[in-house]
Amino acid sequence: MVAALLFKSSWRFHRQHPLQLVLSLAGIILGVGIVTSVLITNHSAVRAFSLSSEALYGKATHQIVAANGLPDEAAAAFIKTHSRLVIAPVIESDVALNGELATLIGLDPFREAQFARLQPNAHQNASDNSAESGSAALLNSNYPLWASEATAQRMDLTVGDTVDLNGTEATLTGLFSTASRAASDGLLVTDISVAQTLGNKLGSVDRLELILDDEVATTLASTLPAQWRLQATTQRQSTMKAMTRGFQINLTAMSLLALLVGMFLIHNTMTFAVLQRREVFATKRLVGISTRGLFSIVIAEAFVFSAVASIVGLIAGIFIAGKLLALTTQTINDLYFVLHVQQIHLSPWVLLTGLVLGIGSSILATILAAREAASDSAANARRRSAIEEKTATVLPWLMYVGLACLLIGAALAWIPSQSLMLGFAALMIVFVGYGLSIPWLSQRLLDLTRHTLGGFSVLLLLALGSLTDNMSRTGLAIAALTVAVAATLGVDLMTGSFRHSVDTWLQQTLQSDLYITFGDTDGTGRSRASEFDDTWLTELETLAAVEEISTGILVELVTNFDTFDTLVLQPSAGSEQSYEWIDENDSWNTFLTTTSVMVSEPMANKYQLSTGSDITLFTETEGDVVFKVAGVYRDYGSSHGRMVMNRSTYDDFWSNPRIGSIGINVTPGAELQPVIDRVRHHLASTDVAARVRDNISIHRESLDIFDRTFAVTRVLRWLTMGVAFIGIFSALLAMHLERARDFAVMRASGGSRIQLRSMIMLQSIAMGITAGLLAIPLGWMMSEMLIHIINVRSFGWSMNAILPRRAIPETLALALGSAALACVYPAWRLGRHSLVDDLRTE
Amino acid sequence: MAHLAVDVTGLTHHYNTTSTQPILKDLSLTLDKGQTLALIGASGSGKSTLLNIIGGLEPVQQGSVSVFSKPLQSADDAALTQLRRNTIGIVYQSFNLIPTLSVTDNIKLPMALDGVARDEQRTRIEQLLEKIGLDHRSNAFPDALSGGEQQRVAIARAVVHRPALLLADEPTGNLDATTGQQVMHLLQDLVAEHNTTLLMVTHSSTVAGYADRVLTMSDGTLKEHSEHASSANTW
Repeated sequence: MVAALLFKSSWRFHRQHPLQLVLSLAGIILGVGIVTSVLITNHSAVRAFSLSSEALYGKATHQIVAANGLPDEAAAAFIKTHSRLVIAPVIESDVALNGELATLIGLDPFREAQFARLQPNAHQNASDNSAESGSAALLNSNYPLWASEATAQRMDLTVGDTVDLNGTEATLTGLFSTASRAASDGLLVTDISVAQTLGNKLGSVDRLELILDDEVATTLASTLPAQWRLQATTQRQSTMKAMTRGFQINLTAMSLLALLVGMFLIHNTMTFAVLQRREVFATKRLVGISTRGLFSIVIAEAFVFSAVASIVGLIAGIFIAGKLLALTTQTINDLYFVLHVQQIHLSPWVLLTGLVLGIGSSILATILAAREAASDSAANARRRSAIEEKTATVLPWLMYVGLACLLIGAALAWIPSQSLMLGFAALMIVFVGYGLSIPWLSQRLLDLTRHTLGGFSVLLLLALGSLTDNMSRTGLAIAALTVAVAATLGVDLMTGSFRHSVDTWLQQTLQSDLYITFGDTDGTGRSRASEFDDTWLTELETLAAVEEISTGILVELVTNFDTFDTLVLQPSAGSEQSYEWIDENDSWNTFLTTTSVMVSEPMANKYQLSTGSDITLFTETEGDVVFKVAGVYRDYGSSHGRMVMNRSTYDDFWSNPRIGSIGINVTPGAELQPVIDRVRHHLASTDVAARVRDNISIHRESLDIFDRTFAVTRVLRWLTMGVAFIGIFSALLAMHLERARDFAVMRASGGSRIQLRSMIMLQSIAMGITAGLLAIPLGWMMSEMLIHIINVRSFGWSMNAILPRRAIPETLALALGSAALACVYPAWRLGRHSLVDDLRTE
Repeated sequence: MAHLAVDVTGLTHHYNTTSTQPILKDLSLTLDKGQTLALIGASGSGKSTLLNIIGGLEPVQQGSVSVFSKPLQSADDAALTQLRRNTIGIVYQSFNLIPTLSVTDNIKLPMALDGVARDEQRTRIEQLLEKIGLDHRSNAFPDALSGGEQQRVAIARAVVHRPALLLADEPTGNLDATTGQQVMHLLQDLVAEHNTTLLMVTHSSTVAGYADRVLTMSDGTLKEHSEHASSANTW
């Protein structure tokens, strides 16, 4: 009965203050929305990866791979020898389908039936025989090219349509479906021989897929040729999932930061709602409601509001996830592997996590306010100044706790560990610690300003005085804005430093003036290799204005750690300049003269490798061979890690005469275009498709990819700013709502609308500048932690921190702009309210 | 008309646009400069509304109101602000002190808004604090003061810019008899000092007894009060 009355009273209060309620809910909705959207996006990407793996592998349990593919003849002989086993050869290539990235699978129709990878579409296929299995139907076309139904529907394709496949025209001859429709999006299937031609893989297959039980697998593994390896399909999937883990954790951390800012906002609004009713609470206590009862009612309010707002937040999250998905998928495609994710996957666990985070953080943020409602003495609660006196007492303690958190965060940050979660925990603790210190620091800064500048303007004096006298409100608003602006600055500094490092690295890496890549680019940045005779290469080198050439091919090599992309390099005299060594050694000479590889910094970090370390490579001719690490070089091309091997070393252990790219150094002073024309003419003598580009365009394209990679981060950053904006807006509004009578008194005492609006503007500006100034050290700390801890642990990349000159004015402008914008409505509202009503307000 | 401080003619006022019954009905009133007028009447009779309209806090809906020959019905917000800043001071029943400003700052407020020089501000505040007997509480905040002290500060704030017209809405309504009497004496002294015109709204016949003239408001109209009470009454 009592509870019902208390609820009725609370409900009436909130109904009378709808704007406050809406702002409070908006904070929770945005916070939950952002976290949920990232959780859904990450889950969708992982789910899409799992589904597409299922679609790709079908019932295959194992696969046999070799360092450089399996030669056709050897593969055929193996299948014949093991005729009792279910085995199928597969080619897998990334291709451009009408300009969009797709995965082309080459299958042997005779061996596919038991893998149950695909089902033909009975209604549309050229071969209109619904009884046929997918693989059998595939046989009925001379040049079969099938698209998954999902792909065809999305790209509006039907059987018989002409499509652009890697720049050549092809006809879509059929459609297929898989167990999961979403899983097959972006998949194309063709006959294995066609895939070999299109993928420039004539004479070999990528892998043999098998359906085996564990016992047979163990026996088979021991009988394989030295250069072949049997692995479970799940092993490859888990490796690929692990590659994106760092990226996904980064996104989650960014979203949690938004929730943290949201918590400041929730705390602010709930505290305000409590403070506004301090007299009501005092009266309730006078009539016999216990402190526990009051505490419970405030917590119950928070629960009800946060539950409603969290549910709306989940819906918002689903909407935002739809937008984030494309950006995230693009980044995964740019950085890791080709992934087709077209739809979001909702998991009950993800939604529950969002709900629990929303309600949990709201209740956590409300506890202090609830304690305040319950702990004040009934008499004290009626005194406005008592609250500020109490706040003044609490602020130094908050600062001490904050300082302790900062020290703990710093200590955690410097613990030598590879744990990314520990790094993020340190970052979060630093943020919370700094956030707790902000009200005290703000009060000091504002007091200092009031004493310094107050003499110049009474309005300024009043405005600043009002801010410092109301620290219970303004302190939190400044803290929320500071945290959000600092997060923006921190991420900006990190991406700026990163971009600068990548830019410098590209300048160093792209030492050749021109690059020829073979095969049409497929959008992945990888190229297919071709075989050239020495005469052709010598002729290329003797073209006018060509000074020297280097050649390379990107191959996948299997090591005792994992499989890595490896650049096999036939260096030119200038190639050494392309590498910046992380440790100073005679690495280049070792690289040229010994059985060694160079490893990239991420690989070295991940596997604790350094110059002189041993690494076992699975070679074609001799099986496992121990190589030395010649040196560790800076590389921002892959967070998974890469290696570079000298061509002569490679030729000792592998038989692959192809090259994938040629770097051409032009005679100093020579114009590039004539050289490009001569190179193209020379290429015309072969039937190999090639692309000739200068280093400037590659440099530009690479930076474009870099910028694309951080698009998702930028979106999250602005969403966080949105939460902070609502925070400062609601704080200003709350402050002015509560002070409506004071403003009315000022108006009645001769204050003009302009004067009062100016005062509000001054307050906002003061809050904005304070938040901006306080955000700079926090933003800098954040960028240092992101650069030196988070990035190294996530991706293995080290870089130099850069503080651009524009960063500080931009940060101040951002804080000031947000605060100024947030005061527009309160200022507008101020002049429109009835003076008499406000003067009557008790 | 130059001798008139307030001239109200045919004033009709509704609480809001939907109400059919006016709170003030075709009301007329004149108040001479330097005169003290008390308005008495039952709650809800429209006394405070009339005071607020004369103070430029509520708009003139119908009729005309002039304060020191300045017509309020045609005045815009800036003109009304200027009028309050230079000509009018207001004392409220509930004091309406700004809780986050000290006694000194509360008194300083109207001068600060009017751009009075800082030295002049200081001098006037010191004089007033001494006059209201609160020079020892100059740095105290309102919630640390008694009701009587708060009302004295409110009066000081209302007269610090030396208004020609002082409006007081139930100035002793929240005070006990003795304190109320002290406050009225103070008000009387300050008004006399600068020949300020005073318009008071009160329930108390004792407070009304301080006035030169007393009008009774009933059903939105005014009539001269027949008894000029001077004996003790409830505050």
